[in-house]
Amino acid sequence: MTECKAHAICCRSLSKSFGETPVLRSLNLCVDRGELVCLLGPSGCGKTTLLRCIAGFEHPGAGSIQIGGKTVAGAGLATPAAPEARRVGVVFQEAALFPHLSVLGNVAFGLSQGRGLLSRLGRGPGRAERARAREMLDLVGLADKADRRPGELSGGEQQRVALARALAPEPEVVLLDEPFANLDRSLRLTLRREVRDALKACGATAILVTHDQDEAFTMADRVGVMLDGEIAQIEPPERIYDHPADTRVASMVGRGALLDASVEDGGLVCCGLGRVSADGIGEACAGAGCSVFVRPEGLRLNPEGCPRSVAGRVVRVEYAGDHRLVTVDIGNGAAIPVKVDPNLRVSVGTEVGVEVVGPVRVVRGVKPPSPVTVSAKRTADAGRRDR
Amino acid sequence: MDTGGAAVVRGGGLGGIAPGRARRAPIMLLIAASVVGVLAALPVVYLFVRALEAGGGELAETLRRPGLLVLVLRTAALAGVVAGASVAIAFVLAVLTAATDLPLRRLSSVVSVLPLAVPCYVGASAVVGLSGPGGVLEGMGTARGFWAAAVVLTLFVFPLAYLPLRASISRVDPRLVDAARSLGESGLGATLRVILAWSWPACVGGGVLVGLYTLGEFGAVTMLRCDTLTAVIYEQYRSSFSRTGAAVSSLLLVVLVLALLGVGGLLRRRGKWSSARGSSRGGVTLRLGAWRWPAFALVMLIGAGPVLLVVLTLLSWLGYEGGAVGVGGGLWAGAATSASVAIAAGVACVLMTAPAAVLAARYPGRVSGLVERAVSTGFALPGIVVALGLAFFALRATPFVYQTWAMVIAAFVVLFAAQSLMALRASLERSPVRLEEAARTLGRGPVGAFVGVTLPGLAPGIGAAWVLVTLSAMKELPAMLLLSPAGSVSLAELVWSSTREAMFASAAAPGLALIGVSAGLVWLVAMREGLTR
Ligand SMILES: Nc1ncnc2c1ncn2[C@@H]1O[C@H](COP(=O)(O)OP(=O)(O)O)[C@@H](O)[C@H]1O
Ligand SMILES: [Mg+2]
Repeated sequence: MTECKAHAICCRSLSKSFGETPVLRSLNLCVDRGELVCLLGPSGCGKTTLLRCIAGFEHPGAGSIQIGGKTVAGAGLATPAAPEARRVGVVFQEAALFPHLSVLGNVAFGLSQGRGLLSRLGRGPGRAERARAREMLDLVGLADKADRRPGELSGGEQQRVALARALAPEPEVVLLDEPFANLDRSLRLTLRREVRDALKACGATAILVTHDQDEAFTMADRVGVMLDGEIAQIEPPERIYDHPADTRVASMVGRGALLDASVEDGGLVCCGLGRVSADGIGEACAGAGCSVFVRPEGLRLNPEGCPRSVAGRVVRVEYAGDHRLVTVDIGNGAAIPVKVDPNLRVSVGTEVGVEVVGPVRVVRGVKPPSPVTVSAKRTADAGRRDR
Repeated sequence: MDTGGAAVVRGGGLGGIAPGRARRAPIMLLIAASVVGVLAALPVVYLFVRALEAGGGELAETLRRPGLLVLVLRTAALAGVVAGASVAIAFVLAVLTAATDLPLRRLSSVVSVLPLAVPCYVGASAVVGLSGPGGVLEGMGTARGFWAAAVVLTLFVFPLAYLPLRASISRVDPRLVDAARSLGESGLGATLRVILAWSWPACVGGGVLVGLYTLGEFGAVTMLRCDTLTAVIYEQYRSSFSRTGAAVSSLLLVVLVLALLGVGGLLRRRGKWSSARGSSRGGVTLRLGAWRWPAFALVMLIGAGPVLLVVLTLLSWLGYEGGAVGVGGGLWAGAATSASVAIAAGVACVLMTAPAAVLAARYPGRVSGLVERAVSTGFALPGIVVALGLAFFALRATPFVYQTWAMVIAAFVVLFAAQSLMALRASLERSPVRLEEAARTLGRGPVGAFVGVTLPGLAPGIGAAWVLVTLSAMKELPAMLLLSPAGSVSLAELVWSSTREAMFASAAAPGLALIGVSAGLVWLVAMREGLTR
């Protein structure tokens, strides 16, 4: 376990059940110093539970947690360390600012740890503490709101104060649990950028939990896809998108078509889209049968009867501004999403051809039951199944 | 890229799931919380022990005492009549003030709870004086007996039923009225039927509250010569020959309390919409038209009339011979006694119920449920029963506290802990656990987090609990009569003894002082119920 000294936080074989229900299943997660990891997973997959275990509000049933090289739970430790002894900052979904303190008082709250209880009650924050608190407020762009009460701030401002409060004592790691979930969409977009900038400016290590794929992809250094109490894949966003580790990750992240395939010689697979060359046959495929995955932008729509394409019929057309997503039924109940130019007019019922132009990946695991198209709705279903 | 994941159902947030669920309460907290539960259960348990000890023969003899049955029936009948009449009055006033375009609605609402400012025995004292020799009502027949007591009690306690009724009626879902009308009922009929069905649980709850109060009422009924079980218990205890008799009579009263609660439970189950949720922007408004001002006059007459009558009577007595005496030394001593005991009782109550409130709000479970049940039993019990139970217990087990202020304060804690527990618990539940967790991650220990973050938010709740208990304790008569150290006289006792001896003039000043205290209580309640907004 020596390699964990290099990590800001390291969870090993973490398990946790509530009663009979297992919520975390032997989960492993290591985060480098200064890294921002986003955990992406459907509701109920155990994200919050994981963060609560790290923060010390819940105690894992098995496995160990190390923070800053120090074991705080498991691994022979008699009692898990108390939350206040872990040097972990937390930003809750609903900000949870102290209503009786000013914005500055909130940010300075965690800075008076050395002092005794009575002296902390008696005096407000000292000079050095105020200076540090102002510095943090500066960082989140709220220096002018220092004397306000939390109730007088907007939702986005409250979250920024919460972040400043969590960062002020220079914690080993900051945990953010769906910090933008209660905000409206446009605010979320700006706040993502601001929060990432603030975290990077402090060089803070952070774990941000979300069920929003855009949020995870735009903010993270590495995205961890969490499914069913485990981390199914943890890699940079590009890798997750281009090389999903298994069918579950493939169906969870972005859109695409998952198809049954059989392996042939010369790096070829045979699937509903014809005989195509595919990556990763060796790694992911043990026997002859496997699943392949292709993104909508890896496919092209051709007129009916074109060579090298598979015939099908358009069953749905979705307009998305910068592109159109055309779903083509190629038989056997396989509905394939194809990304096309927004100016291309196609109507439902048209007979077309689908050609593979981009990479086809072989992925581990069995193909999820039909429909094959992986869409937002399917992701939600997956979330419900997971619970 | 597509926001595939965004459609997923929203998660609960860090700690979105009640974090107390899987956690066990600290053992010290369990012990501290149980103290008040044990204390609250003590009187009634001990009364049982005491009555059983007496043995079958003595028990049977006591129960066969001539007149006992009449007494029980009278007590039950009085509770029934007062409860029924109070609910009827309260329903009318609540509809008028919460579901119509009555003018000056805020004033009307506050006036509807104003009668609570007159302790029943003060009201009774005024009525007795007025109908006595030289009184205004002299010759109008004697204002004594069952019906006099029923009228006086109803006039001064119906607001206990008004409060829950008003709260319920102001949340009536207007869509239900629309639905009833669309099914062909006339506007007024539909509205009233919907309101009645909707507020049925509140009607029952209010009736039970008034009934409980009436069962335990002591001062007014003895002054008005309508002896109920409480009067007999008092006599039996004082005469000290038949202490067992007092215990048995107390248990009979407890049986009546249980019967009342049982009847309440039965009636409540008959409600059709008892589980319906109120609408947030709820409320219906009936147009009164030409009846607006007559209705307003009715509210003023019922709410303010009796109160004014009593206050003016007492004021006029102040000028009489002897009134001045009342104002003198006796009054100040009484006020000092009442105030200091009540203040101490308030502090004791808050301190003792605080652990139970933390337990109930943060670690709900079997123990917290038991403690809450014991504490609400104390609330339902008549003051005289609690006092008697504690007296018996102290005589036997801890004679050194018998007839000390500690006994009185313990009785007040048993009687009023429920109010304090509810107020504290409500404000604790409003203070999110998340705040404490945030404080923990910022380096505070469990106690530090509670003191630094939760406590500041609790201050108003603690204040409210303390004031509520203090003001209630000032008014309490039977516990004071039974338990106070020899030689001390509180305001409540002053009113009671002066009236009994027909020295009305000396009842005036303490009576007015008590009305002042109670007015503070009423104001608090009115503010909390949102009547002043
Ligand atoms: N305190 C608890 N008691 C019982 N079950 C819990 C508790 N906390 C969480 N769970 C269960 O654990 C599962 C994972 O919850 P959670 O970690 O909140 O998921 P997420 O944050 O990913 O939405 C859910 O099924 C939830 O019902
Ligand atoms: Mg969650």
